[in-house]
Amino acid sequence: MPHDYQDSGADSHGPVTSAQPVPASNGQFPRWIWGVYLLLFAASVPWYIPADAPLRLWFGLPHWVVISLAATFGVALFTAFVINRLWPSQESPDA
Amino acid sequence: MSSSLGGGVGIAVGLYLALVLALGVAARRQRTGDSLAEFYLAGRQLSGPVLLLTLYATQYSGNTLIGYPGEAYRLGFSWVMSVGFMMAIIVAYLLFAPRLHHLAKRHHFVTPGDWLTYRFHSPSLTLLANVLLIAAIANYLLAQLMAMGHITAGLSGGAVPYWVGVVLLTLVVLVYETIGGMRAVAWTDALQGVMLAVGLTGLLLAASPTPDHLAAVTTWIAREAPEKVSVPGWDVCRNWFSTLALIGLSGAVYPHAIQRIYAARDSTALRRSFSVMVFLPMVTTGSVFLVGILAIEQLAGTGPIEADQVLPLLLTEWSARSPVLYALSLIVIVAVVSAIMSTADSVLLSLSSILAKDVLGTTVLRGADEARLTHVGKMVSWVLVAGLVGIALNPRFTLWGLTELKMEILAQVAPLFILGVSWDRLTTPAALAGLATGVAVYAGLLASGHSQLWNLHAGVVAMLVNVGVCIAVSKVGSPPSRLEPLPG
Repeated sequence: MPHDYQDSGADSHGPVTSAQPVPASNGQFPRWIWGVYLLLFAASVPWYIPADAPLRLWFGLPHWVVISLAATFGVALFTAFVINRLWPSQESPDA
Repeated sequence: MSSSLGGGVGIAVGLYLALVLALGVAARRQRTGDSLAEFYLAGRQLSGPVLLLTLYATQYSGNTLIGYPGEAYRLGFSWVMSVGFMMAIIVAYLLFAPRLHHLAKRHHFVTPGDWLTYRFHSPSLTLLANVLLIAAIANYLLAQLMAMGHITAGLSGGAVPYWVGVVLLTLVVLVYETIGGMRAVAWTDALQGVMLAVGLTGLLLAASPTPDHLAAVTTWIAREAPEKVSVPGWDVCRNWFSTLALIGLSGAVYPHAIQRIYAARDSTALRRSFSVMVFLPMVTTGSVFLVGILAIEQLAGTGPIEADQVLPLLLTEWSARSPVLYALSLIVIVAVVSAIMSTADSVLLSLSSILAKDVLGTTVLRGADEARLTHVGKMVSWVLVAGLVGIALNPRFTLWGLTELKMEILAQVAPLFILGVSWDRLTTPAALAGLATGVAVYAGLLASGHSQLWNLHAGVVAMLVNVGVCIAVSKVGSPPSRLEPLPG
C-alpha cells in the first residue's frame, strides 16, 4: 500500500512525460471533460434525426443506429484518453 | 431444449462447477489472516487483470445474456441504447473512483458505509443509506437466485426442477465464498469473465452476421415490423436519456462495485481495468443486441414468445445445425450460468460485509475483533441466503420488476458517493435531506402509479430532486461543525 502512494507522489512532483498521466490540481479530472461527455452522449441518442426520416442502410443497419454506435464508440475512445492522460494525481486528495 | 442439448449441458455445467470449487479452495490457501480487509477485499491486492475480469463478470449478469437479446427482440433497434448505458457506468466511475480509491486505502474502508461515516459523520445517514443499499442488492441477489432456477429448468427442459437449480447453484456459491472470501470470488469471477467473453464470441460466430445478412434482416423487419426500425420519437429519446442516467449512475454505486474500487491494488490497476472495461459494452452488449435483432426474423415462425425465451430458442435451433454450433451453444450456456453466479457471489459478499461490519459491528457486536466479525459475516451469508432461497422458491415478482426497483433505489444513494466525493461543499444536513426527499419522492411516485413521468424513470426524477435539495441546502446552510471537509 505505501508503495502506491510513493509512486503517485513521484508522479505528481516529477517531470511529466507522455507516458504518465497529467495530474489534476484537486484530485479530480478537469471539468471540461464532462462537457465533451455531454456532447458525445447527446449524439448517441438520435433525438436530432427526424422521426419520419426514410430508412437508409449503413453496414446493413439503419443509419441512426450506426450514428448512435459511432458516438458511443467515441465515448469509449475519449474515456481511454481521459484515463490514460488525465487521471488525477493520487497524492492531492488527502495530502 | 433438452432434446437437442441434452446430457452435454449437464457435463459442461458440472465441469464448470467443479472448477469454481477448486478455485475457491486455492484461494483459501492464499489467505494471510482473518481480517475484514483480507476476507472482503482480498487484502486490497487485486491486480489489473483480475480486477478487470471481476468487474466485468460482476457487471454483466445473467440478465445481460438472457434478458438483453429478449429486449432487442421486443423493442427492435432502439435497444442499441443498452451499449451506451453500460458504457455510462464506466464514465460515472470517473466522477468519484480515483479519489475514493485513494481515501479507501488511506482510511482502510471496507464497506460503502465506511466512506459515508468518514465523509458525513452521521450515524442516521449511514444507517438510512445502508438500509437502501441492503434493500437494493438483496433484491438483486434474489433476482440472481431466481435466474439460477429458471436457467436450470429451461436448459434441462424441466428435467431438473426450478428448485434444484436454485438450491444447487446457490450452495456452490456459498461454499466457495465462505472458504475463500473476496479472493475466491475474484478468481472465480476471472474464470467467469473468460467464459462470458468466450460465450459471446460463440454467440457471434453462431449468429455469423455479415453486412449483407444484416441488410436482409433489417429490410425484412422494416417490412414486417416497421416500428422496430424507425427513428425513435422524442418520447423514446427522453426515456433513452433517462435510462443512460439511471443505469450509469446507479450501476457505478453498486456496493460490490464500490468494494472493488477499495480492493484495487493501486491506481494503476484501477486505471488499466477501467480503460479496457469501457470498450467491453461494444463487444458484450453489442453482441447480444445483434443476436436479439437477428432473432426477430429467425423466430418469426414460432408464434408469440416471451422475451426471456429468445436466447434458449436460438440456442436450440443453432445446436441442431452442426456439432460446432452444438459446442458453441454449450459454451454460451456455461457463460450464462457463470454470469449469474458471478453476480450472485459478489452481491452476497457485499451484503455480508455490510450486515456484519456496519449493522452488527456497530450494535450487538460493537467492539468485537475483526476475526469475530469475519466469522459472523460468513454465518450471516448462510442465514441471508436461506431466507432469500425461501422467497425464490415461491416467487411473487418478475425478474425485470426486481431489476428496475433495484436501480431506482440505488439512484437515491448515488449522490452520497458522486457528490460526496467530488463536491467538498456538500454538507451532512444537505445530504440527509436530499436522500430523504429523494426516497420520499420516489415512493410517492410509485404509490401514485407513476413509474415514469414524461417518459423519465421515477427514480431519475427523484434523484434530480435529491441532487437539487443537496445543492440548495448546502448553499444556504453553514457546514456543521462535525463535518470534516475533504482536503484537496
